[in-house]
Amino acid sequence: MYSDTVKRICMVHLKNYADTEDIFQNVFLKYVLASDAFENAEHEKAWIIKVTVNACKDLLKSFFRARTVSIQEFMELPEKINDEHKEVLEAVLSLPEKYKDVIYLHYYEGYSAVDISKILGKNVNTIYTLMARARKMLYIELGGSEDD
Amino acid sequence: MIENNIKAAFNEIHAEQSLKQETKQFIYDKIYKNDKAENRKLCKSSYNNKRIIKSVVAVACCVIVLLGASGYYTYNTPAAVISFDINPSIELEVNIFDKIINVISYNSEGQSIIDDINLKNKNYVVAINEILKNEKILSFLQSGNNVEILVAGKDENKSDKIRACLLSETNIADENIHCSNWDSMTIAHSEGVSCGKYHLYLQLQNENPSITIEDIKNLSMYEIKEMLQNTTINDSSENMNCDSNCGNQGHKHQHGHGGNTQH
Repeated sequence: MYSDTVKRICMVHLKNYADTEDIFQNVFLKYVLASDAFENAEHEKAWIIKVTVNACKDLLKSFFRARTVSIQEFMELPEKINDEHKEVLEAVLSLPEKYKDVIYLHYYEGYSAVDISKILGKNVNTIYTLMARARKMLYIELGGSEDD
Repeated sequence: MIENNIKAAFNEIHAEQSLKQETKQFIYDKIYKNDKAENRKLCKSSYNNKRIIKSVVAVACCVIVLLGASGYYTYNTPAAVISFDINPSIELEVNIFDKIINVISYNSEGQSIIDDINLKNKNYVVAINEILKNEKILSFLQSGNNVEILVAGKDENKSDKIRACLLSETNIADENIHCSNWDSMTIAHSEGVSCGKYHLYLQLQNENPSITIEDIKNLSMYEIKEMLQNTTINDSSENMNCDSNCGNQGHKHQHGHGGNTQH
């Protein structure tokens, strides 16, 4: 049910399939072994997202991990993505780390700034600032109007 | 527009079937082939660990607070009282650690000594020696007055120990250090006098039962001692007169009191 969500978050942060596989497996193992009951589906999904984001960040902090696989190699994995979407994904993935989650969670998952602040454990004003700056950077990268 | 583009782009990203299958196998291997201890490490039991740690910290804090409170109470509970009387009348409350926890004056001279020296939290021997070195005390001693020390401990051992220490560590004479009990101290305080003065009063009352505490409350130690001395002398001289008058009759009269108290 949440496999695509975990895969997308891994793709946002990580640059090779091996790392994605590691994180994917560990997140679902934790999910299966989670001892506390989830209050509802929203709580469950938010938990999955939070665990995945934290696992990716922990992995990236790890000194011994290779981080140099380019987006091109990533895109040669089983999925075939059209050029227009590839451009958008490249623009998102080229953002600094702190903006990627905010963009994904707001524009794709549809979370509000308040919800994103709870998931990522950041101040809601920080989230608003990150969203505004990320939006500006994406407009510069992709063109288009800020009113979109 | 950009929102739609982002949505559409991410919609194309899916977890591959091979990835899902490998993950299922991975989880199966972990759960059914691992021991429970390893699975506990992997699961969200970090939350339980945090709860346990929080509980342990809370209990530890409570224990520390209780120990602190009990330590504070123990430190501030008097185990003995040392009454220091020349003319200045001072009482020192001593705890089980032999530290002064409270200093009380019973007259203005005593208060002026307390104002000069900070005695709290000092060892009682150090405190007594400091008092004895005070200029005002020295002038009283040089005028021919003696210091009278009375030790009233909650238990006899404490009193004896303090007395022995004061004998060995100060220059106060043996005959000027007395011991009493806690009950007498309580009565002395209820009468508004120091233990030392009350002790002297009891000696005087023994010689002259008509004497009341009100008679001697405002007298100096020197004056009370003089009364005691005079009462004792009068008793002795009355006994001598009686002996000479009554000796032929083969019996003695003993007078329990003289009538000649001097103020």
